[in-house]
Amino acid sequence: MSYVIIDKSEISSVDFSEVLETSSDTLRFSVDGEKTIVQFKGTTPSFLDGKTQYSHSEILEITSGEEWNKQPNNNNDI
Amino acid sequence: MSNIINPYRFAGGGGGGFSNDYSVDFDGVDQYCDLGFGTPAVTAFTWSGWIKTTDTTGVLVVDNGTGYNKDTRGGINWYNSNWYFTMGDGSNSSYDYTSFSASAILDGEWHHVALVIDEYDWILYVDGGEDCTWTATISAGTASAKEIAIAATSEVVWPTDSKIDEVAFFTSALDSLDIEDIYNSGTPTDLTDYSPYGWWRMGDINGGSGTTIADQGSAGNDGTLINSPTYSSDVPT
Repeated sequence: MSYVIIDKSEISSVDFSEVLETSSDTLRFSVDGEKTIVQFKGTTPSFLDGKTQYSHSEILEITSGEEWNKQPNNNNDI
Repeated sequence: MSNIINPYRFAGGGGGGFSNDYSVDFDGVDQYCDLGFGTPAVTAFTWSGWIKTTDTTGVLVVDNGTGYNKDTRGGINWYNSNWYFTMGDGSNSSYDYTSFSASAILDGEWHHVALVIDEYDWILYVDGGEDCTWTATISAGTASAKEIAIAATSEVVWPTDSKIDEVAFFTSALDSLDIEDIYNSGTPTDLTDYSPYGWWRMGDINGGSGTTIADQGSAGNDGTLINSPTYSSDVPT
């Protein structure tokens, strides 16, 4: 499995038949909403050519940080 | 200590027809199971499930879509290795995510977790025994507009690197003997006699294929696997 971080603006170029994410509605976003992650098996989809690919352990390390790991939101914190 | 046997209790087991062969393996990046309904307006309820994880922040099951405390009605999740207790009513919330260690379940082995909420009073059980108690300042009883999900929130907050099995929801506060029976010395058992509102077997109904986790409870809220988690033959035994 390979994981790729893409910008929000690149979501429209994703062919969801070539990645394991169900749809654009089920993507995980960074806390600031600017980045998301897609994953694939096997051949790299053409729309991800040239982008950095991460292993499972590498992407878990990245997403464990505050950029991706949302902090608790207290009372009426909207 | 009484040795009197309560004739109205039952041992579960389902008459030999029960088997548990699958769990679901979630990658902790963006995979989860959406149950498609929010916590109903009941003042007492119980969550039960099995999990295998080392993830220090995560979700077994919760209705907290965006991570805002006011949106949740209580579920089994943890943050920075502490249980994350939250009861909201849509406008305000009562919460604690620093006082109670969740380390008992974070060793990479299978554990059973049950959360019993009875109005303001919470009891969390691990492996059939009481782990901690908490008193909220907001009572259960307000329906949630957020869909319940397993292994992350329904808006993909706190996805959890884990295997999860046999998740169930009961619209009553089960007692400690019920929880001990459901733990069953570490082997999942038939929950039919407890009349679960929701019971998601995590692959056993569909032979470990497809994306639908059929609800074996009374409410018929089938779950949907999102972002391609996989089935596993690694189950609690």
